[in-house]
Amino acid sequence: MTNRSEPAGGNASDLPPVVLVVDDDQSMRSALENLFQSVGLDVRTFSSASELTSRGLPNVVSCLVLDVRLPGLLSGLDLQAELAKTGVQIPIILMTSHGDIPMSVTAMKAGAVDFLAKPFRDQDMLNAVASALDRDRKRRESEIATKQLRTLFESLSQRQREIMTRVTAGKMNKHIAEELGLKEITVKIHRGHVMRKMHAKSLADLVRIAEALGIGGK
Amino acid sequence: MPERARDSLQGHASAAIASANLASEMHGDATPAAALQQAQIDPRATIDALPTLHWRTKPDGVVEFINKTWLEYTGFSEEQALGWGWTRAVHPDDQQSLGRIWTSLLASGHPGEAEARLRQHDGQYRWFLFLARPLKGQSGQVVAWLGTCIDIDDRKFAESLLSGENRILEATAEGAPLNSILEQLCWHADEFSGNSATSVWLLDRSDNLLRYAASANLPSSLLEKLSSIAVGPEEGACGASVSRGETVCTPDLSSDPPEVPYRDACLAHGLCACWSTPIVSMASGVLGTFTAFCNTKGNPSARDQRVIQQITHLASIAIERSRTEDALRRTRDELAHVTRVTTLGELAASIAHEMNQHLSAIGTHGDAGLRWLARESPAVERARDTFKRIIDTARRAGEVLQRIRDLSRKTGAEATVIDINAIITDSVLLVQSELTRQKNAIRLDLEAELPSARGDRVQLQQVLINLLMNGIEAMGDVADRPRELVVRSQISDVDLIMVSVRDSGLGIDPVNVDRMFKAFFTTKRTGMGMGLSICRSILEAHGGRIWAVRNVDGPGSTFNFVLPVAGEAKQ
Repeated sequence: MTNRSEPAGGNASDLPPVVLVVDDDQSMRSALENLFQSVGLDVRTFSSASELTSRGLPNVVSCLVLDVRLPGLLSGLDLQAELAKTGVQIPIILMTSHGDIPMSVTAMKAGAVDFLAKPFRDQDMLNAVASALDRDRKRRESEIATKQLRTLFESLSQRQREIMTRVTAGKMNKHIAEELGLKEITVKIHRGHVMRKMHAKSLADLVRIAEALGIGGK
Repeated sequence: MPERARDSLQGHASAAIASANLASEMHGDATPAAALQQAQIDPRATIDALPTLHWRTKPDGVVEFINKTWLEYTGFSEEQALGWGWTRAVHPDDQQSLGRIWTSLLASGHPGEAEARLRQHDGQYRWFLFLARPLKGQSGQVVAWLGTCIDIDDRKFAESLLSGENRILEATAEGAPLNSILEQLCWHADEFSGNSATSVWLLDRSDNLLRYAASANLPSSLLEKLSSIAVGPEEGACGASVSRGETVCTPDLSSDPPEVPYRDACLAHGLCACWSTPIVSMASGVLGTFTAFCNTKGNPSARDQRVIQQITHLASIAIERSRTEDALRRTRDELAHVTRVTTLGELAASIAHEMNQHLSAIGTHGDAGLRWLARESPAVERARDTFKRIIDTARRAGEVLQRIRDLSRKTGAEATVIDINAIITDSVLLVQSELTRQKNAIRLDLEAELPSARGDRVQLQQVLINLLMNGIEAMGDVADRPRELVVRSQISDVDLIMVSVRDSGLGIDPVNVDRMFKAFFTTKRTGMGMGLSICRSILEAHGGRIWAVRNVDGPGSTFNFVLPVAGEAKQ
């Protein structure tokens, strides 16, 4: 399975978004393809979960429109679980024929964005897809931003990282100097480098960056 | 013809006697004349008075004495009968065989017997047993032949009545179509009477009319005018026999009122008498009537009455049997229908799902089509393509409905030439959704060169659906291995088509292998236990067989059935 967390490769976000449709019923595949194309969306259709996993997910903004009842070993819910397990965070819209309640609860708990019962109103489907794509876009953007911050963070020296971690945890320069066995002035100088290298305009800005990177903490 | 036969009979005999005489002279035997004197001891009056037919011939077979009973029976004068004249009373069809036997007796000098018909003075033939015994002189040479003819006509009649009865009962037991049995009966009756054309008319209780069922010799031009006959005491022999429940005879049809529907038509065909006997069964009362139209006026003879009695009895058996079978067939068809509908009920969720898919698709296409047209510059081509897809989807939805309608239709079994592989694929389509829902994989292994079978498409589809559903159910609890159904068709032996449905389920309990095809046997929590029993009765009605085995090379079981290859159409 393609790992969507791989480096974005520059302009991936500029490519048009793609809706991935997985339904074993040929009529439904054809209809959904037609509907999404009519609003100018790119579509790829798959007849089974295994076809999707073997062909791989595209590295662009996308969402999955999935029938819960798929033939073969992987049902829609299974596919959802499988994707989650491998860390793929594509938004999923599940379709069912029966509006099966336990199934929809399971699906929503497992992170499905939406759950539509067939037959659905086209606008409901298009809204669901639009918000799923939006969510994917945002997620991808934040992923990219985080990635850039991480690169910046990795450009810091070991000492600078130690100091950034402590600064963003709210510690005073004096205490940091004591902890690390440094002079306070040295800490101050490192702190200035950190601010510059991390493109932080203020201490608050640096704290936000640290949070995005998942460092520091109490 | 009789002349020639008599000549040949005489010729054979003379030659044989000539050689016999030559032989006795060579052995120096006593002269035939001496022995003859000894043999002529019986007073002629005694022999004349005996109630049986007697004669005596010379050693060469030439008749020199014939008793009065013989002459009275045939109406011949003594002059006409003596010598070889008697042979003119032998039925033409029997002359050759009788001549052959007589010749061989004369040649061998041994006693012997033969059967042949002799014409009575009134022109009627009766069967006789001819017994001949040589009278030998002291030295053993034949001096005369003594003979007796015994009337065996009643025995012969009973024999042929019996053999006809056996033939017809056999046909009835073999399930021959009723019309063909009734036609055989008429043919049988016509054979006996020789001067009548018999027919069977069945009573239709819904309108109390007699409807033509069968005849062997009634002219078709007459039948065209007589599709039905009314029942009633004044409706001529035919209708009256049914309303009165007894034989009614019209010895002279011209005496019937002109309203009798068959009167004029029969008279026009030279049929001038009508005898009608109701066909009655113990259980159902009057079933119809057996009617003879005769080309001579008069009432039935005692023998005619015996034939009629036998025919009507046999007809009632055949009709009753055929009606019972029809009722049985109807019951079986109804049961098959009920279980089919039950199966459809079990498939309802799957069918609903499939229909929903198609309907959702049509709706979604419609939405898309509107959007294509609502664009700033309407995408007409895409809209057109959308319409095509809608039509295509609607057609497929229609096919789903058609398959269901076929299964739920309530008609009797219809035998047509069928492609078993097509039935398998159709059945799989119907349970496809169910297979998906239960996460079963299915594999088809179909013989491409499968010959056609003959049978009812819907009923055989029912068998397959039943086996597929059973397979799905058998694998319901399987979690540790793939749930797979394999459907295979193949040619088994030369003229059998074999279909197997193999599952990877729990496998059947060996103790149930035989019981499982019986009605009301079930191991399921739900279900009437009728499915397999219906499968069996459907297959048996198709001349096939069904059985189940536990898989030996893996888990699960396999249900097999065989069907005969469609040969030349039987009917």
